Amino acid sequence: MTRLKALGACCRRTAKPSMQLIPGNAPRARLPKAFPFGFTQKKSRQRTRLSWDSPKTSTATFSSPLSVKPGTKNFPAGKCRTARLVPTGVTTCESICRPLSPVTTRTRSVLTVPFPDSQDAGVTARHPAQLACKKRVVVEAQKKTYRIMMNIQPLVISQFGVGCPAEKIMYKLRLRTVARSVSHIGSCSKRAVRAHRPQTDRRCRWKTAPHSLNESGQLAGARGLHVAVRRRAAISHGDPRISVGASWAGSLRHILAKVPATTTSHMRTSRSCIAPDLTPFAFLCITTFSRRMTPKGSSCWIGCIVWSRAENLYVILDLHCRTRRTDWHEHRRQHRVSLAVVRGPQEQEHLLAIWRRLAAHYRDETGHARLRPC
Amino acid sequence: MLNEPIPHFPRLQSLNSSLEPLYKKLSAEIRKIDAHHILFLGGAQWDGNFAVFGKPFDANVAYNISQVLDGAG
Repeated sequence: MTRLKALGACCRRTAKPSMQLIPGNAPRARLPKAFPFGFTQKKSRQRTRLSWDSPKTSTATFSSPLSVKPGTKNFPAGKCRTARLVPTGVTTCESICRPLSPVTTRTRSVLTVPFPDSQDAGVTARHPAQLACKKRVVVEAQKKTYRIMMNIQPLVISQFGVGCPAEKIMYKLRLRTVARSVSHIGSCSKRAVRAHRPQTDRRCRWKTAPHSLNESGQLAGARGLHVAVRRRAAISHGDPRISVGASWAGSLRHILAKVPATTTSHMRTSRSCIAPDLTPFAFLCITTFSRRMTPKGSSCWIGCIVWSRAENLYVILDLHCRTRRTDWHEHRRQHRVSLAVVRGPQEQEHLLAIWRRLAAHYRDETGHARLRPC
Repeated sequence: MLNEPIPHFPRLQSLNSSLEPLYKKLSAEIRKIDAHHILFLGGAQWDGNFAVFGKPFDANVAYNISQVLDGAG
């Protein structure tokens, strides 16, 4: 699997004064004030040189792709001007990484570095306190800003897709993606569920959720369950306990095709991630059963499966954490069960019991898809 | 089998090594009962880190990626 390398992952100190990012033979970039990987210019105790191997050959690795989420303070989504991720063999990177014209200037900065350092080998500390002193040095260097529009997460997806042909990749887009697509378009038909983010986010407020309860697209017999139906774009749900949704790939692609190129950067990346010639996934259904598998709690997703079967559609069971409103990535103290499933045998046994029941219940289900080996 | 397991915080990435054994355990149990359906495996750190996986241990398995588009726009 190909990897992406961010600049911050390979930061190292050198004795040579430099404030430049050295991308081999690529244009140089200025050390950012708010580097997304925790480096700041003020915190540099020594002259820092960031480098990556060869951007043209894309040998960069990205140690923790999701350790930095777009939208955070130090990493505003779509506005990262500093770090450069270079995908390898990615077919959809053109619209993700859009290099802008480099601007060459000269910069003069004052850095605070420890004293004495390697350059002060001949200097003898007269007092032990001087060993902990810092000195101010003036660094003048040439800089070139090289702005890259990027979005880490689509790159990660592209990264994963490198190893497999496109027809082997099934994109499971989350409901929120579809909802935001529709929200950005804002031209849904009257009968479609006009989904805005508060209605589709699982963490939505109850005040905003019920707006879509009676819209078309609601699955009959399932309380609070909203699905997208053919030629209707949106997905929503009103019950935060159970979020179930469905969408057709054709509809989604149709939606994305309508999005103007200038809408938002993330929509461009979304559209680029869906290859036009991708074998259409017949159906996309995300079924979440986040609580106990009681008859009441499981009625929604069971209803969804029944409905999907009637529509000759595939269903993906996507198991979330068993505690309320949590996922397996939940880390709050009251939801330690999400981590305990990896750590503790009790939670694992509970998980095994759930999947045994599901497997036993649906083992005779016909029409299951089977992957052919790549 | 698990939706977006393991948070992205660095201190919790020590759990990454436990993820694939858990998947193997789950898939072994499921395959005792159902040998047909596709198993979807999500990577660590919100289905984003697939370095935790070795070679596919099941012939009918798919790797699930999550694309979260928070904060954009």
